[in-house]
Amino acid sequence: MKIKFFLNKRKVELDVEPDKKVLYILKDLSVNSVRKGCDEEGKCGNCAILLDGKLVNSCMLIAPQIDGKNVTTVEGLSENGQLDGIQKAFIEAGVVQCGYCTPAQILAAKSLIDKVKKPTKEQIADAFEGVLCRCTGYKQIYNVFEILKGKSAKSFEKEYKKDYRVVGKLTPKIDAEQFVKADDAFVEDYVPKDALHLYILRSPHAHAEVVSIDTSEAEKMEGVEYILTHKNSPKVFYTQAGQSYPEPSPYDQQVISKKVRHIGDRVAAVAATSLEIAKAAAKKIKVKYKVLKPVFTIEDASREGAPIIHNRDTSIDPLQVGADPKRNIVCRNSGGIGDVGKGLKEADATVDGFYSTPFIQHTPLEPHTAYGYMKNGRLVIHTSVQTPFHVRRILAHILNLPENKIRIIKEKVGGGFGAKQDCGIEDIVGTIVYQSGKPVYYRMTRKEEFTVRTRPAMFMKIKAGAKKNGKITALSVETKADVGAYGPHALTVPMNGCSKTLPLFTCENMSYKVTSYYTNNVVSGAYQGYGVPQTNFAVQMTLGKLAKKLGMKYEDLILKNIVKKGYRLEILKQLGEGREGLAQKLSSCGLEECIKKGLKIYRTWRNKTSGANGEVVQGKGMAIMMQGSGIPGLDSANAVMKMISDGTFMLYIGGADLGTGEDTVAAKIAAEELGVSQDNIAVTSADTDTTPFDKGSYASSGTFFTGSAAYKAAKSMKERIIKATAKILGVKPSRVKIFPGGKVGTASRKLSFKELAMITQSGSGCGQLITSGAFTTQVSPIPYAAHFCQVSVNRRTGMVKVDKYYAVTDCGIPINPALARGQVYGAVLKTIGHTFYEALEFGKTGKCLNDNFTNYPIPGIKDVPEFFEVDFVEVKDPITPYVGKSIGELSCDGASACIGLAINDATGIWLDSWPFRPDRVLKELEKQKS
Amino acid sequence: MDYFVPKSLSEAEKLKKQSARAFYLAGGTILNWKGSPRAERLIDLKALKLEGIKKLKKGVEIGAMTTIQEIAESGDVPASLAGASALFTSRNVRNMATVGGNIAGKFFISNILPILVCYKAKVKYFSNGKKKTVSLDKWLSENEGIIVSVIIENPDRIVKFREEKVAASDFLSVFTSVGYLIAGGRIRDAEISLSGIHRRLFISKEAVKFLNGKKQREIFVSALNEIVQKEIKPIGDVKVSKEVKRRIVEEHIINILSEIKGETR
Repeated sequence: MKIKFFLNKRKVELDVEPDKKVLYILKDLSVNSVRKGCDEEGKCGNCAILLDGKLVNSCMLIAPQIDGKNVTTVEGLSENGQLDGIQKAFIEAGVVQCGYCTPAQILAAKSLIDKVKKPTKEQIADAFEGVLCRCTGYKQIYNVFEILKGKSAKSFEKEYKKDYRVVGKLTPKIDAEQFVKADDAFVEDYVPKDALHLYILRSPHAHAEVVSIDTSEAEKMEGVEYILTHKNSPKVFYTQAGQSYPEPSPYDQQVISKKVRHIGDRVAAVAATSLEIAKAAAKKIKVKYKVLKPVFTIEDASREGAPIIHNRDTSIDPLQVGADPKRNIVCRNSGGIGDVGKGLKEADATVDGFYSTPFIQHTPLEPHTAYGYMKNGRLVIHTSVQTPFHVRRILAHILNLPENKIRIIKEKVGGGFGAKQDCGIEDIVGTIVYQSGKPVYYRMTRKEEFTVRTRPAMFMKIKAGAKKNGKITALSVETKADVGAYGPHALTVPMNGCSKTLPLFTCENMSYKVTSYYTNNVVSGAYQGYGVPQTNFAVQMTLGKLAKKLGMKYEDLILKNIVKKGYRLEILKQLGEGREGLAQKLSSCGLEECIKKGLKIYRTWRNKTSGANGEVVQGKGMAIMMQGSGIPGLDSANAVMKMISDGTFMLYIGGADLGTGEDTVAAKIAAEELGVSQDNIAVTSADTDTTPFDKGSYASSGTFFTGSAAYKAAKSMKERIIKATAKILGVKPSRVKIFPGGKVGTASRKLSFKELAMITQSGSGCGQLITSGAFTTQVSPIPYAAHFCQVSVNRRTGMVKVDKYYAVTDCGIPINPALARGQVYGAVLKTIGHTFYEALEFGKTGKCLNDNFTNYPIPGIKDVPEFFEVDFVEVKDPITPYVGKSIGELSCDGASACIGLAINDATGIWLDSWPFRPDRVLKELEKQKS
Repeated sequence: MDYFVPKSLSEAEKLKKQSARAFYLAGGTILNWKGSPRAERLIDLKALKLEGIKKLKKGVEIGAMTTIQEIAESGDVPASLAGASALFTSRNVRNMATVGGNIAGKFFISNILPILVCYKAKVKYFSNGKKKTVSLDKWLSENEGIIVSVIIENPDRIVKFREEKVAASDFLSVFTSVGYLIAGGRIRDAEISLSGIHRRLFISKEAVKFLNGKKQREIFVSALNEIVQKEIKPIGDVKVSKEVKRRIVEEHIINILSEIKGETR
């Protein structure tokens, strides 16, 4: 049919199929801003457009519905490259993180502000409720409207570090403009029309062997260009885990294996000229399976005679991590300090607790996407990944190529949260591109996201004992993890749960034991928090029970036992990642300050009873938490800096910004060190050809590791600038200083950086000023936080609501305060979702029952607690002048414990398993009655 | 796929009769959900002028193509209908979803249908060349013709509702609505309707018998709840079990009655 409409005031006439979705019509017209975050369920709203001024989901509209109408997208807001006021306000409010949902949010704001100049909080929430965001926690969206009313961000956002000009100050995220304008940013924006589309045929069985596979009918289809099955797949074993080599994860995976180990495992992949053809061809592939008995629980997996999921040779694993595949054990580790048995005997009160947490999905709004091609004999992949350098290494291993034959370019990432830490799709895309020589694009569906990477299910037994005075004498953690069909991060996730909880306390007798099991469940791996949210929940709930037994207030028990600056964390020596760790003396610790600051507010909250029959009761809870800032002695980051001919700088970092602002952090630190403005530093990052090695963005390492590499490169640049200037001026370097505003020289004679650049780069100069900074460390600053909440529990229905939430964080220097705050909001809200309703559910055959946003809701703006505040305590750490500790993962570690303790305060029940669905609450309330 | 934009109701009806796999397109939020419509023929109702809210001498008529958001924002519809409409999924969806589509799709997790039942709304529809008007209840069971409009003849009915959902972005778990008139100090023409409980809209038969003829202050929560609980057979899902749904219904009844009693005090 022929349709005519106005797209951003421009007349468009098209001949399209009437059932073509508007989302795809706009994509064909190169409109980037319509992002597809769900499987056309109308749930995520990231594809929103304004249709005659009204916000609607383009995935739910077909061609005739825009005929004769005005379609507005974010691309139409900025005129002549100038940003519209709303776009500017989004940047100033610091509410742009990964940027994937930003265009839809901007349109939501526009549709509202066009009708109501000064909207109320309720109207704002109403306008934004259909646009899901997984990064920001929505809270700062309200600030956008304050800015639109004429306020400055400084009126509601605090700045830090009085003596600094850029670090700790409110400056725009350096890539924010790209997102608010929906310029090319994500992989999907760069895919050329001639790229082949990939469809993966996935296993319908949880455990089976492929007896035969016949692709002949599929191959005959016009448009089918390549098919990969186990027959032509590389036979190399590897781990998808994006961790530093040697990885503490088993080499138990092949690109496509003859054996399938979970529903959704790869069976074949078809590359065709369109996704529709690839799908149709996949349907013609005839597969005969020998169905094997599956195991879905740790109990079944560990039973004598249980089906063996991986009958494999562990000698190929880069690190021996206690694997026993014949018993379905992926890995195990144990250790501790002191003597827990003795500590328990000495205790006046002891508590045993058993806790469980389910498989949970990360749900970044942008699914995994990758586009690859061959260029000049080299494999190039543009991808949405957290670890481009690890991906290069893993691919080189799979394809038996030198690493210099592979280039990985991380494009902007629409949220990662650990889901994109691994070589999760680049292995299959890279293999097909390399074998076929053809360009291939692959984008996972939302359903696939749910079934191929999750957080493992964990089962934790905690023992704790304490003296009457509250001194904890023993604390032990025993974790069993169901990691599903393959073992990426199988050791490190549960281990991290121990290494980021036990060191919170000064207890002298502590132990841990972790065992991970293969099952035929979905594959698990890294997820923001990396085992800590689960284990911290278990530990703090146990300590909550202990405090009750001792008749103490929880906060008093905690304050009596926490570590402080200067304390040596001996237990960390035991808790390495598949090897010996590093004991560490705390170079800074703001935990006590966080608790005390939070308690001032928390103690003002009064619990009330409401509801028609007094069935709604309130309760309060608090939790403490720690994380790391990268892994000392294991991780590393590098940066290269160039002064270019006008005296501004290029900064090249290997770090992979996931929307959290790592590029901005690096630019700010470099600018601070060099005495220039943030604008003078342009950042290129995460391209294995053009940027130096960086382990990638995981383990909370971005700000500290990549930021410190940028600091070292900038520091070195400063020295070179001084040296070069001294030579030009004919004075000793000790007489030369750098002055703010890009000047260098002595008190009497100064050169601008531009003059310096021109001289050094001229034929008679010393050459372009280029420096590098390599950062490795034996110590890493530990971030701390204390979270406080108040909940309302409906004793009749079991529904629980978070009324108030207050998070106080020691993140060292909040280098970018608005972004740091936004990360806390986002992490907390995400964890509130995990606590109450986010959990994958499986049927008897292992099929996931809620692999979509309709059945697996995630928090929206109306889930934001009425009181939701974030504060920082500014803590100086001597490691570098710009120690920004990690913040995102840390902020995921407390909500569940906090809420669990608050529910206990309200009702007296203990909820020991996530999610706290109403059934569970009611069951515990019933138990309590009986 | 064939696509048609009929100019009249007769033409639309004729087009529909010609193909077993023909569908009417209104807002498209049900038809276009997850992938493109799997219809052989799509009959777009946009040229039939079925949108708009019209105040009648007695009551209000809402065109079938009126969007849920338009109803939510309208000062001409009864407050409870506007209030419930504002809770329907999200604004993005409300801006497209229509009241006609909601009825025709028999959307079992609807905030709109229980409210309309409690207002004793009537459905004007076109079938076999004629416009007819029947109760919403009847239309839902007979499912005949093209919906033209929804008529609320008595917007003064007392209608109260409650909604519960697991997460703000989620569909509702349970929606409960109670409606009635007061004549001579006694309840008359009561309706109780629930959504999210069964696969179809639930309309109480027994509970209304219990309510009719009673004074508002004479209604005991426990008695009403017992009757409703006997009538419903909730279906659970991965988020909310059937037992919890029963508890939510009880909670809704308590709160609605409490609100009513509070207002009559």
